[in-house]
Amino acid sequence: MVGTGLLKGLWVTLRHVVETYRQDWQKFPRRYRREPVALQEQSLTGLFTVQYPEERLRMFPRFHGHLIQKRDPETGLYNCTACKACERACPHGVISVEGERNPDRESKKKMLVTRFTWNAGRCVYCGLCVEACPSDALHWGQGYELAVRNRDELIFDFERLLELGDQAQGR
Amino acid sequence: MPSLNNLFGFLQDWISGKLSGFLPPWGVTLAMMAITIVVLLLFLVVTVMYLTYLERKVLARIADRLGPNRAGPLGIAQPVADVLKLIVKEVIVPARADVAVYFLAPVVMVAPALLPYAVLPFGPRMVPADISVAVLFVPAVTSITTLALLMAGWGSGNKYSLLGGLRAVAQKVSYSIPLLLSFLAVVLVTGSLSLVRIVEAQASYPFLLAQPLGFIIALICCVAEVNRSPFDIPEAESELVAGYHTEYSGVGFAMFFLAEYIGMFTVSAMLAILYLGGWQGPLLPPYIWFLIKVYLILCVMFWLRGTFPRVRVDQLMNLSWKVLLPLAMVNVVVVALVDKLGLRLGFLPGLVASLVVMAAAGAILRSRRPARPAAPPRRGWQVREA
Repeated sequence: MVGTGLLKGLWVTLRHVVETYRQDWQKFPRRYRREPVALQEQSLTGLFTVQYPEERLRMFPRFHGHLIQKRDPETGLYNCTACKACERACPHGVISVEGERNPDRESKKKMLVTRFTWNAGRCVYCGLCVEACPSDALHWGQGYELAVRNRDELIFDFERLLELGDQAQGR
Repeated sequence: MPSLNNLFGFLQDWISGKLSGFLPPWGVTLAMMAITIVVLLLFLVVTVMYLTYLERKVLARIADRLGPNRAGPLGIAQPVADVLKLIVKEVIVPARADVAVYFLAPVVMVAPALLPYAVLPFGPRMVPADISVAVLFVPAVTSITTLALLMAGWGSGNKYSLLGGLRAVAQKVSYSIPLLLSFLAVVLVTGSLSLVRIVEAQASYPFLLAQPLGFIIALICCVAEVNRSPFDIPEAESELVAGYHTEYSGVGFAMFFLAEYIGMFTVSAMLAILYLGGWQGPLLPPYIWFLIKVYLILCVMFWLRGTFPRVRVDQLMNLSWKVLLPLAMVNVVVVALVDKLGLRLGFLPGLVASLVVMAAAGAILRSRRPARPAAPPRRGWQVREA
């Protein structure tokens, strides 16, 4: 029949409208609240626009957000041994590591990190440092809200990277 | 709820009663006229503001989006922000503009768009002037906006604007004819050009049931009359930048915008009055019923906009002159015939006749449709079948 294509099109758009309202109803109050909600997965149907400040996406594990320093989950000591493999691997020289021998000879930790900086402002996020790390210390985190007001804040020190690592490991 | 049903009539009596205490009769008449005009204008401006909001919300939902939701809760302050932005914006006059025409066009656009509200009945006693030729009056005054579009197109001194204005004129002239012919069918049955009488004639059933074909023709023509998508070729972004209002900014653009949305409300109100039974309906007060019907048609117009791509100029003209005009004429004849036969079966004979005509038209259009060219051979990488 002439005009069935038009009706079919109208049916498609109507279905989309109904579907968005149906999904809206399921997560009714949250979507319209102004406070931020927890990280979430992206839906692929219905209203899939992420309402950013209120809704945030959880990034996938391979996402290159920022660097983190991991700790040993049992002892709570950081994994970094100040071996400088990451510093050597970095093509832009944005990582600098300094370490010293642990004065406590009995400790399991032979090397202490005295200084570890990562200059995020000059980093190209290639991940060679993470690949180079032999001791499961340097990893990518999934955070992406890295904007700062001052360029100096782009330089992450060891404490901050450990803190981010703790957040990523859920501590 | 007799008091709610006649709320506005009661208000009218109360105010005029108060006024007659210290004003002569002609003063009361003048004051009541002024009050009516102010109330209607306020109603229209607020309606237009929130029509844009409604439209954006509906279109957003069609496109799986949320629509405006930042300004205020659920984004309800968005229209206010838009209006303020438009008012504050600088008015820029193009160097080659015909200044007098350029500045007159928005005024000529808005004034006739407001005129139909003098005769549109919102309820039994809610019509400023129940004139006997209202069905003719409304299309007559709204078609003055065509002139404004041409003035805007000419006055801008811009070829895209001029093309937009010319297209608008061609389109409005083409679509007025089937529109008026389908209105004629309603008038034929009612025997009156008064909108109030037409609404009263639909007490038992709305004319939509008796003349579905006429309603469809009128709906298509109304969408085209107010230059709405899919018939928005006078302002086709991909071809003409923004058509006749390309060179307008600030308040001038706001006037065009206002007139366009008032026009949408007008044609929707006309369709609601002529085909959906106007204020007739159970339980709720009549003006509520009227607004429900008008907003229903407006939502259908948004729905059409969200669904269909824009037609080409030749397709637009073909649809009007080769399809809608003959169908509207057949509709008039069929409606007249059914009415003359005087079968006491309510809307059934009209409905059946309309469906028969639509089926026949569909068959004719289908048979005249050029055969589709054979699909070209597929190119590129293909799976070879074993």
